[in-house]
Amino acid sequence: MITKMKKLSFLIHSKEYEQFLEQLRSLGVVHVVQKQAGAVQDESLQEDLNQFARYKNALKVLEPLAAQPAVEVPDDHTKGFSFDTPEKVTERFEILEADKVVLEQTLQVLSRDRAQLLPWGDFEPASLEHLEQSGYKIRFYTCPIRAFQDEWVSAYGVVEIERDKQKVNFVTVTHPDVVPDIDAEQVNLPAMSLSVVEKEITNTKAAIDAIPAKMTELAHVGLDVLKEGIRNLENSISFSQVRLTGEHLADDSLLLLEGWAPAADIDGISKALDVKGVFFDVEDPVPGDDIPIKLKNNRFARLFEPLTEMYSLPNYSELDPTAAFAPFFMLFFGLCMGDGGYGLIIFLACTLAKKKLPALRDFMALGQWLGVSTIIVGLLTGMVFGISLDTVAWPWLAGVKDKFITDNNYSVMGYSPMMVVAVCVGILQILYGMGFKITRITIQCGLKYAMSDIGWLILLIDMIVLLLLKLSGADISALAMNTMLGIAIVCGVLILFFNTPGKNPFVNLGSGLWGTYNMVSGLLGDVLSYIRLFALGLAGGILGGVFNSLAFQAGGSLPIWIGWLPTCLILLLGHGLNLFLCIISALVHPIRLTFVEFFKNAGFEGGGKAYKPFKKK
Amino acid sequence: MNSTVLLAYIGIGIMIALSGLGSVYGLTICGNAAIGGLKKRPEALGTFLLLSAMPSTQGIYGFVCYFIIRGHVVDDMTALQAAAVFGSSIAVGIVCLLSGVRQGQVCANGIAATASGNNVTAGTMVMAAFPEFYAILSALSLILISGTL
Repeated sequence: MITKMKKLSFLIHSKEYEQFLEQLRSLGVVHVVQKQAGAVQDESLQEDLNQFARYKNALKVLEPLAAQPAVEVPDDHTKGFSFDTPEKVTERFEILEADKVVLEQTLQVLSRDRAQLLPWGDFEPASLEHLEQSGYKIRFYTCPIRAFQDEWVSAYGVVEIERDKQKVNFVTVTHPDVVPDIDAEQVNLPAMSLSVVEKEITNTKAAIDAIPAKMTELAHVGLDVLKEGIRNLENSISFSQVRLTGEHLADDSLLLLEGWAPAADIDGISKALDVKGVFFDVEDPVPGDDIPIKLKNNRFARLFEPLTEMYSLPNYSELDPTAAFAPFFMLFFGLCMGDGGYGLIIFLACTLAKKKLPALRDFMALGQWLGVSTIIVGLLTGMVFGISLDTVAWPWLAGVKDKFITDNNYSVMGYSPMMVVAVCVGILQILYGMGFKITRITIQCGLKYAMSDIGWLILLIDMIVLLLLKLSGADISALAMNTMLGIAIVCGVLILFFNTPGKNPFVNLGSGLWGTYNMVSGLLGDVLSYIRLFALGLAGGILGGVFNSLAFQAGGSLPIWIGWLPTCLILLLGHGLNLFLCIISALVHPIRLTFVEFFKNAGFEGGGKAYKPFKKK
Repeated sequence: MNSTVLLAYIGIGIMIALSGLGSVYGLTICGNAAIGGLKKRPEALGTFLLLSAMPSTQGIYGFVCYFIIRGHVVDDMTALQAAAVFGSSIAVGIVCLLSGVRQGQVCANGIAATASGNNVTAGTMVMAAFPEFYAILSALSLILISGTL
């Protein structure tokens, strides 16, 4: 359900504004109506936002590194640094990032130099100057083999250095004043020898390789400080945003602030703020108000709230659908998994993780419920770790083998019993969704606006009862038949003539016929869509059985002392893979059934904005 | 085995293959979009996973239809029954193939929009359900036809 909210309007003297905001933040229950992002301009806020972005950027890189073991850093780069403030940690992070960029660019340049020097061998550039001073000018050339002319050798003292299939590299040895007149490209070599360049490359690579270790060390030393800094900055930003939200009145001497708080907290707020002598007014919401949404569900349904939030929070005039779909979702998950053994693994894993990972407590509790649902479905269908219990020859199962809901034991008009169960569960959820819609419309607009939907719900139930009676072969008396026919006619009238209150009957008839077309075509698709529950459960079970067969065939063909190894490996890997695939399918498809089929029939609109109270983090 | 059974099984084979291919293509289109989206918004993995999985339905329908129709493929089936199995299976296969690809494209657009920071999950799911509806209708046709055999 949705928590009832009250609208609060505060009028504060400008001198007491900051003190009042501190007081309001310490209460931590008022959702302040803030201006659109970017609507408020303030230098200090802008500075905080920029700083926040820098800190977050550093956190994004350093947080995963903090979980890694510390690596020994060749030179103690933290020497002379202290990491007692988030700014220092971020600065150090930014320096390391910049170093990495510079080093990578240097490495690129050095690699290019090395490639240039490689054909000419290792020599000291200084020795060329000595030769020039002695009257020998060395110039480096390259040209295609076909362009090379033998007369250059005698004319310019050409010495060939390297020749490959396409080009020839050579030097000319001439007097410094003689410039060779040859048709070849002169090469300008770097002012370093090959050995120096290679040494530089090794050093640069080592420096680049050391950066991750330095980052990891920084993460170990400064992550907590950085997180604390981010928390403080978030508080400062939210405080500034709320401070700038206040509307200035009466020549800036007064400020008006509006907010929302749960009705149950109003007394506490009144007591706390009355003491400080702040004027404020409490009102009930009126249509058109943009009211923040706080969901309030019992311990079980609360676990499913993230699913509602994933789609959209309900708007304030709606009903919260969480508690309505939660049991169905649990059942759907169980049907999609369909294997009691997998359910047991999920339950045990979640129970263990619940203790080890307190931060994920709610998710693990949800996993426990889903595991229980899978165990129950698995026991009902006789499927455990890919073994169909109705087909095994275990004596202790003899008494219950024929009770499992399987194709061998039951058939409903030639169809698989689980397929019929899936469709029936789907019909039930659709009818439940329609009931949910009727309740919502009745609360929002009044009963007369829900007449058409009531007609549909009763008509469908009437038709289902009639169908079931026919299928069961029961003798339907004329009175019962006429009663059901009468109900259907009344429902038809409601559907066709009471769907748009206030409009003339022809408009009602037109929209009634259009609604009927939509309802009939939509219902067909919606009901059939639930068959996926059967198909997924079946596919998972079959795949598990295939892995069992594979494992025991592979192991059975070998001597027993080694045969157990491939058997265990295939069982472990096969069921691990199948479990993973089944979990993904068993989460995604029930979510889809909830979001598309259930929400459509329940007329869920969503669009609510989350309740975010102004408080210190 | 006579030729009627052969015809029926060819139809069933094509149905399973085409409907599976529809899901394969649809899921691949979505998967590619989701990988691109994850670079922008890694925290939206849940939404991407949900939207990416939408075109998996067509393959499931092919699989379910096989289960429904398999009981009717018997040695003494008539040519008319075999034609019914063949025709309805082909219809399911073709519709599921195209429906899966098209649904994948709708979902991929939704994923791209979500990655750009728009909250369009609900809208995408509703829009993606439209091309799937006709896959459902083809599966329903097969179920109805199987009821007449």
